[in-house]
Amino acid sequence: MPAYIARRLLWMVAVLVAVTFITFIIFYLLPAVEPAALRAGKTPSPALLAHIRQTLGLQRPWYDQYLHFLDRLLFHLDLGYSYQYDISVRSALAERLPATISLTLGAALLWLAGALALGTLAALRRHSLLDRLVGALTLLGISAPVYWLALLALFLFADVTGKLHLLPGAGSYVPISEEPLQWLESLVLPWLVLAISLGAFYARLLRANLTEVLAEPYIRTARAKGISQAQVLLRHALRPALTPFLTAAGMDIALLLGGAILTETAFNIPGIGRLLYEAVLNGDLPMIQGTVLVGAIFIVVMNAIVDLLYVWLDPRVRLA
Amino acid sequence: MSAHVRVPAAALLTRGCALALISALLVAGCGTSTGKIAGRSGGTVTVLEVNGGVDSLDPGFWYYQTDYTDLAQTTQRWLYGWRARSLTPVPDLATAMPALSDGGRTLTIHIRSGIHYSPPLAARTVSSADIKYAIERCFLASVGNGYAFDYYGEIEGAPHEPVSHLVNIPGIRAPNATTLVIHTSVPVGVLDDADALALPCTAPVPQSYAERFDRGAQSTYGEHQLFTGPYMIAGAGSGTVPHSSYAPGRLLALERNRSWRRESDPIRSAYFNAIIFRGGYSKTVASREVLEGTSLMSGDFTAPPPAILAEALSSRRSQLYITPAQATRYISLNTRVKPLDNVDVRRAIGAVIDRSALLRLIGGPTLGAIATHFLAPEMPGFNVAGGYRGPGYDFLSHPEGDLALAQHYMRLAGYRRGRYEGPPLSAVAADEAPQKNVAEAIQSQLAQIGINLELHEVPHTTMLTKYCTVPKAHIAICPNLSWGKDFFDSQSMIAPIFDGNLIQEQANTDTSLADNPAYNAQIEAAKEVIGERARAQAWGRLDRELTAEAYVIPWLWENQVSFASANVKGVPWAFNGGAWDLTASSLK
Amino acid sequence: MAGSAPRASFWRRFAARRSTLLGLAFILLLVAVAAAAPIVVSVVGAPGPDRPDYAALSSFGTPTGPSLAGGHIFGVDPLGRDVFSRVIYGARASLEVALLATALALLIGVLLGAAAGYFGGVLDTVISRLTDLFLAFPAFLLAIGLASACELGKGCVGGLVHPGTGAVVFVIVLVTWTYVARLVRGQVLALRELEFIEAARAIGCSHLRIIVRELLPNLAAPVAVYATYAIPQNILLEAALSYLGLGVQPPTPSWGQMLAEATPIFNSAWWYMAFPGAALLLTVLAFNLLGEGVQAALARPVAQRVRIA
Repeated sequence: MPAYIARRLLWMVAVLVAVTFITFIIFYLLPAVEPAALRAGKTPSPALLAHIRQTLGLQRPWYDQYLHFLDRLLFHLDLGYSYQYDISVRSALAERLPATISLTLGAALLWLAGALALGTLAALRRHSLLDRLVGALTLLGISAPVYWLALLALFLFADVTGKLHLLPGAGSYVPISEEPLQWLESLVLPWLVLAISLGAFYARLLRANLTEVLAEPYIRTARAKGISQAQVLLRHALRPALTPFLTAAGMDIALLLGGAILTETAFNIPGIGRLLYEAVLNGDLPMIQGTVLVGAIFIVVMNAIVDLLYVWLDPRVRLA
Repeated sequence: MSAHVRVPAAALLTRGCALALISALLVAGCGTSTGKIAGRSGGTVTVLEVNGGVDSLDPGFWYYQTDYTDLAQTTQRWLYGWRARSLTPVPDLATAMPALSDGGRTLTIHIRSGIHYSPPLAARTVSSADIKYAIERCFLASVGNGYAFDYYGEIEGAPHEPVSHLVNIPGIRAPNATTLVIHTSVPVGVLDDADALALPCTAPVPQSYAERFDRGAQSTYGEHQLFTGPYMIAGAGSGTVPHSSYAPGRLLALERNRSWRRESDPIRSAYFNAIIFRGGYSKTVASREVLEGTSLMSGDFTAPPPAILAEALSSRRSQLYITPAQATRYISLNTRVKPLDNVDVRRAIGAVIDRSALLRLIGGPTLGAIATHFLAPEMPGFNVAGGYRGPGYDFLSHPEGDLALAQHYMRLAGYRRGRYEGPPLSAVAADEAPQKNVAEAIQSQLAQIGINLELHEVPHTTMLTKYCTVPKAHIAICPNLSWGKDFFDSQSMIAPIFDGNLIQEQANTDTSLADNPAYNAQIEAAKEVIGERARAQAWGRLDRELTAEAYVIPWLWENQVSFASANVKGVPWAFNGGAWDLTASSLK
Repeated sequence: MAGSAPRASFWRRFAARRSTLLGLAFILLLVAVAAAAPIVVSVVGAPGPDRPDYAALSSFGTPTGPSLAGGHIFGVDPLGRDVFSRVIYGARASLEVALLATALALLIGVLLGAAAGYFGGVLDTVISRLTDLFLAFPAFLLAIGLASACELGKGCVGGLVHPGTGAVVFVIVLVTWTYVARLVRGQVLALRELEFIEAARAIGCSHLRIIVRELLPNLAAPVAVYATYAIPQNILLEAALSYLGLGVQPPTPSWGQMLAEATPIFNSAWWYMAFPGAALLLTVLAFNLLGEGVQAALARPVAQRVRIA
C-alpha cells in the first residue's frame, strides 16, 4: 500500500510538471503577443516597454524563464505576476476560486442526487412510462448546449431582464461572505442549468449501467434467496453500477472546478474559468499557467480519490 | 520633438462636451453662463460601471474619461481646472491665467496659499514645489503618463523619453512657495492658454512624501496619495487605500475630504456626501437599474443599449443627458498596405461606405451626427473646415454611400472594372456590439468594390494594444477607431492622428501611418501659434486639407448619452465629453 | 467480448426503433439542406446570409422579429441579415467542421491506437504516455488555448493552419484523437489475446496484412459507435468555440456565434436566440438518436466524451 501511494504521488507530480511545461510552450509560442504592452497600460513608449520587459525577465531565453517559473512555484508557492493586471496570480486565483467552487459543488450535489434518483427509477421500471419520460428529457438535456439553456433560463426567470422576475440574472453573483442570501439566489439558475445539462448524461449512464448489473446472475441469485428489492439494490446492484458513474462524475467535477467557462460566461460569474478565458485572449502567460495548473491539480487529485473509491465500491478490483 | 504619444481615448470611451441642443446656443463661446451649478447638499450616489472603472489610482496616470469622472475631478485639485460647462480653463490652484513673457516662452503662475492636503498630512499646505514635482514625476517610466511628452516636452530640460530616475527639470522653477515659473524653448500654444496645464499631471504631490513610492518598476503612490479635492478614497486617511474601498474593476468608494474648503474652490460644489462606483455590470442590466432605480448614475459607457434607449427616449426623457462628445469615429486606412497607398482607392472607400447605415447600427441619430471631416462640432476650427456640411468633398457628401462614385475613383486609381482585384486585406475589429456590427457592415460594403476583408474580432483593448496601434502588425484597416479631444484645442484632435513625426512602434496613434513632410511641418508650425482665433484658423485649415487625403474616413461625430435615476440631477462635464461632473451633480 | 453481429440482423435491429429512423431522417434532411443552401434560401425567398437589410432595423438599430410580410420569416440579426438564411448556412459550418474533424480524429486515433496495441513495447509506452498527457489537460481549456493561438493573426503551425474553419478542425482533432486512440488500443489488446492472430502469424501473414484484414474489420463496430457520439460532441464543441469567439470568422455564420451575439440582447430579440439554439438542439438530438440506435443494434457500451460546460 505505501509503495502504491508513493508511486502514485510521484506520478501525479510528474504529470503536473509536464502540464506546466506544455502550457508554457504552447502559450510562449503564441504568435506576436507583447506581454509588456499589457502591463504598460494604454500609453507605452518603446523605452517604457523595454523597461518593463526587463523587469518581467522577458528578454531571457525560454528555458530560463521556465526554470525560473518552476523555481518560484516549488520553493515559494509563487505563481508570478499577471501581465494584464498588477496583481499576483495567486491572489487573483484565490479571489476567483470560491465562485467556481460554489458553482461546481452546488451543481454537483443537484445533478448527482437527481441523476441517482432518476437513473435508478428508470432502471427499475424499464420500458414504463416513467422510463420513457426520463429517457426523453435526458436526451434533450444532453443535446442542448449549456449556454443555450442558460439563455433560456435567463429569458424566462431573470430578475431585471426576464419574463417572470423570479431570480437574479447574469452578473448578480456576490461572495457568500458579503451577502449570503444574494449569493444563494444568484447561483440557483446556474446550478439548475448545469444540473440539467450534466444530470441528463449521468441519469442515462446510471440507467444503462444499473440495467446491466441487474441482469447479472448473482442478482438473480440474491433475489432467489429472498433478499428484498431494496436490499438487493443497495447492497449488491448499486455499488458496481456506481463505479463508472463516479469515475466520470469525479472527472467532470474536477474539470468544472478548473473552470466552467461557458456557464461562467453566460451568467457572468467571476470564476477562474472566465479568468482563464480572458488570460488566453490577452496572452497573459503567468495567469494561464496558474489557472491551468489549478485545473490540472484538481483532475489529478480527483483521479486519485476516484481510484480509491473504486476499490471500496467494487470488491473485484484490486489496486494495481 | 518627443517620440512618445498616447493611445486613442477609445481604449475605454470617447470624450465629450456640452449639452447638445442648448449648447449650440451657448457654445458660441461668449456669454456662456459657466459658473457653478446649484444643487441640494447631501445623500449618497452609486455609479454603475461596465468597462472596469478607473485605470489606476495614480493622478500621474489618469488620462481617460472614466479616470477624470471618477477620481480626477472629485479627489484632486489641479493647477487649472474645468467647471461643468467651461470651454476654457479656470484657475484652480492657480490664482489667475499664466502671465506670459519672452514671446510666450515664459509663464509665471501664482498659487493659492492655505490649501491643505488630506490626512495623514492634513497640516501641510500645497506649495509650488509640489506642482513642480508632480509634473516631473509624470516623465517617470514607473508612472507611465501618456501626454507629458506631447505637452510638456518643450519645457527646457524635460526628458524626451520615460526615465527610470527622477529628472529635475530646470525649465520648471519654484522660486517661492506660491510662485511657479515655466520656461519653454519655443512658444507652446497649449501651455500659454493653460489648456495643457488643466490636466491631472498638475495635481500637487509633495516630493518628500511621495519619493519612496515612486521608486521601483511601478509607482505605488496611487495607493498612498494625498488628496486635495472635496472627496477622498474612503479610509485612505490612514496613509493607504484600504481594500474595502478599492477593488479594481468592482468597487471604489469616496467620502468627503475634511481638509477641503468650498470657499477656496472656484470649480467644485461637492453636494453628495459619498460616491460609490460599482463595476462588473453588463450594459443592459446597468442601464435598466439606473433608469428604474434611485440614486444611481450611469458609468463608463457611451450610451444604453439601443432597445433601452428607444424606450427611455419616449418615457424617461428627463433622465437622459445627451451631449456632443467632441469625439470622432473613423475608419483607419493603413497607407503602407497596398492598395491603400493610393489616394484614389482611399477616396473610393470613403465613397462606398454607407454611413447612415453605420449610424443606425450604432443606435441611431441620438448617438451622434454623420461626420464630413475630422474635427468634431464645437472644436475651434470646426467651422473653418466647413462646419456640419464640411468641405464638400464628393466622396464624403453622400451619407448613404455612392457606389458609382466609388467605382469612378477606383478607375482613376487604375482598376478598369471599377473593382479591386487583389487579395483580401486584413482588418481587426472590436468583438462587442455595436462595434462589431459596424465592422461587419463595413466588410460587406467594401465587398461591393471588390475589397474583401479578413476580419478578426478581438476584445477592444487587444485590438488597440496588439494590432491597430502596432505598425509592425501590418493591419490594413481598423474600422472601430475613435478619437476624442483632450481639451478644447484642435491640436489634441489633429496632431496625434496625422503627424508623421509621432509614429512609433507601440501605442501609435497615427494608425494610417500618414507621413507627409509638408503636412508634418504644417502641424509643427500650428503648434506654435498663439491665440484662440489664429489657432482655430491654422487647425481648421489642416483639417480641411487632411480630410481630402482620406488617410482616415471619419463617419460619426459622437454624442455621449449619460443617464441617471429620476431623483438625481446629473450634470454632464463639457471638458470630459459629456461624462459626469460628480462635483456639480446632486440629488433632487 | 462479442464479435461483430451479422449484417442483416444489425440493420433489422437498427430499423426497428422509430426514434433512430427519425434521427436519421432529420440528419439526411439537414445534410441535403446544408448542401443545397443557396437553393433552399432562394426558394423560400429570403435574402442571402451576408446581405444586411438596414430597412429591417428600427431607427435605433434594433432588429425586427419574424414577420412574413417583411420577408424575414425568422427575423433579422443586429446587422439586418436574415436569420433564416444564416441558420441554413450555419448548418454548413457545423456539419463541415464536425464531420471533417471526426474523420481526421478517427484516422489518427485508429492509426496510433492500433499501432500501440498491436506492436506493444516501446511504441506502446510512448503513445500511451502521450495519450495520458493529453488527457491530463482539461480538454476544453486546451481547445481554447489552441484556438486562440490559431485564430488570431496569421494562424499557427507556421501559417499552415489558417484562422477560420481550418483552425477549428485542427483544434478539435488535437483535442479528441486521444479518446479514439485509447479506445482502439484497448480493443486491439483484447483482440490480440485471441488465437486467430497467432494463427495468422504462424502461417506467415505480414503485420500489415493482419492489421488490415483481421484487426480493422473488428474495430469497425466500436469505432462506428464512437463516431455517432463524437459527431454531436464535435458539433457542440465547434459551437462552444464559436460562442467564445474562437470559431469560424465573420461573415461566415455559425450557430454558436449567433448565440453569442444573441446573449446581450436575448430579452429584446428572442428570435435570435431561439432559432439557432433550436437548430443546434435538433441537430445534436438527431445525432444522439442515431447513436442510440447504432449502439443498441450493436449492443456496445457508452463511449467517453469531452466535457464542455
